[in-house]
Amino acid sequence: MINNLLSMAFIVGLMLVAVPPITYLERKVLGHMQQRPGPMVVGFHGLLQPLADAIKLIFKEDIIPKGADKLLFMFAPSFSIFAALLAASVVPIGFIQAVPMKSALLFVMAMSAISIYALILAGYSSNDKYSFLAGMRAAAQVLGYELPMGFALMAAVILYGSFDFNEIVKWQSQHGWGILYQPIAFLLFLFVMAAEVGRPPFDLPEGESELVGGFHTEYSGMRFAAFFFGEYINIIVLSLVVSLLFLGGWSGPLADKYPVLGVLYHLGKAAFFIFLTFWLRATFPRYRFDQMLSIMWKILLPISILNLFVAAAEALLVG
Amino acid sequence: MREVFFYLFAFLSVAFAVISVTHKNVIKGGVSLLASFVSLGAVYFTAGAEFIGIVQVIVYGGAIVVLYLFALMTMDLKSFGKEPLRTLSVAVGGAISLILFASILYAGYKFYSSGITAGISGAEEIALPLFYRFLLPFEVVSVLLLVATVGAVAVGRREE
Repeated sequence: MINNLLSMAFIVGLMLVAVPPITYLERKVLGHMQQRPGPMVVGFHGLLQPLADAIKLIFKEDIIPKGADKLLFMFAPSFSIFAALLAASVVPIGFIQAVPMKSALLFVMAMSAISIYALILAGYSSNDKYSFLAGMRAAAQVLGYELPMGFALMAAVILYGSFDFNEIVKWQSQHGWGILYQPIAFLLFLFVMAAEVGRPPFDLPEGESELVGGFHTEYSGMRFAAFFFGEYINIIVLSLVVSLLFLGGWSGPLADKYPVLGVLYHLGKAAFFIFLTFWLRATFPRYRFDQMLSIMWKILLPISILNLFVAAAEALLVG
Repeated sequence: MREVFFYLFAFLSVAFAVISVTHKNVIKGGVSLLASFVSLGAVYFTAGAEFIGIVQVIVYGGAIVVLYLFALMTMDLKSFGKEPLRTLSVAVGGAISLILFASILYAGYKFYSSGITAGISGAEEIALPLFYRFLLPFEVVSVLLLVATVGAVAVGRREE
């Protein structure tokens, strides 16, 4: 019980503390990829930039637009953080495990499905046409990616025979990394992950070039920051999940002897996927809305269904 | 402890369901429907049926209510709620609800068991009976769903 509470505190703390440095790293990485230095003014090479941002966001005026639906407007941003942290609570990092759960993978999926309401409700309640359109886009997007994502994960689950992250890692330490067996599911999941966290090339609900700021156009101060906390926590959680599912999680040389090493392995693998989201953002332009829908429904969905058969065959051969 | 949360979420589920029916604003009604579904998922959790609880949240929370809200947001909401209630529809709806309520009460009375027991927690316990003992009804239901899908496509298809 005490262990669980400690792990819970560690995971929540990690998620909240990790977000500001990640925003800094994202801006630095993006900057250098686009051949500019990124933030340089506050502190050495802009190291104190996240702190400056935090102070700015905390002291900004909190504005609620006149025609807004007040209750939903105030509720939406907190929903974003709340769902992301709930998902984080069931994901084990090495031996640190807050809530042991048999169906942990499904629980992460459920929370990521629920988190989309933050965008929809923010869009609806802002009483602003841009926000509203963004909310509609978010709703259509979630219906698009949910199915390929579910099927990609189910392929992995068929192979491992469990929804439990501990079992999944154990299977991989015996048989080798999941990416060797399920490269298609891995790629599908990476693709859909970008849509799930609303990152380029699928950041349609934000769409700053056509929708001002999308669902968060009318938000300011800490409510605005809450959306970003939710988004980045989601990125961290899904990166941890991908490395658990396909890259062996905390398994690795000497990880059995020194569990701390396992934690570091896991965080290192997740860090690569977090970097990958920055990389994608710097590389790809945003898809048009109809392009996004046809990619999801016409390409990814059939591939992911066919991939289920591959997974079933592999499960029979290897299992 | 478990009982406290069981009754808490059961109460929340019913309360939000009532709000979703009676609220003037349809979007808020949709949101309370979501809250009701999620509370119901939590009820399953407290009863030890973890898997069903999660699937409840994914299917109803993640897909169905999103679709409802999407449809509701495209409709003209201002003209909503201005039409007066028709006596016939109220009477028929009330009668059906009464019959359903009575049968639920009867079922609860007949299959009453004291205490909350955890019978089905994982996917395996559900999959085994579904794919062995009740395979035929399961397949019949899936054919029914296929018929519904084909019907929806046929109805929604644009005339050439």
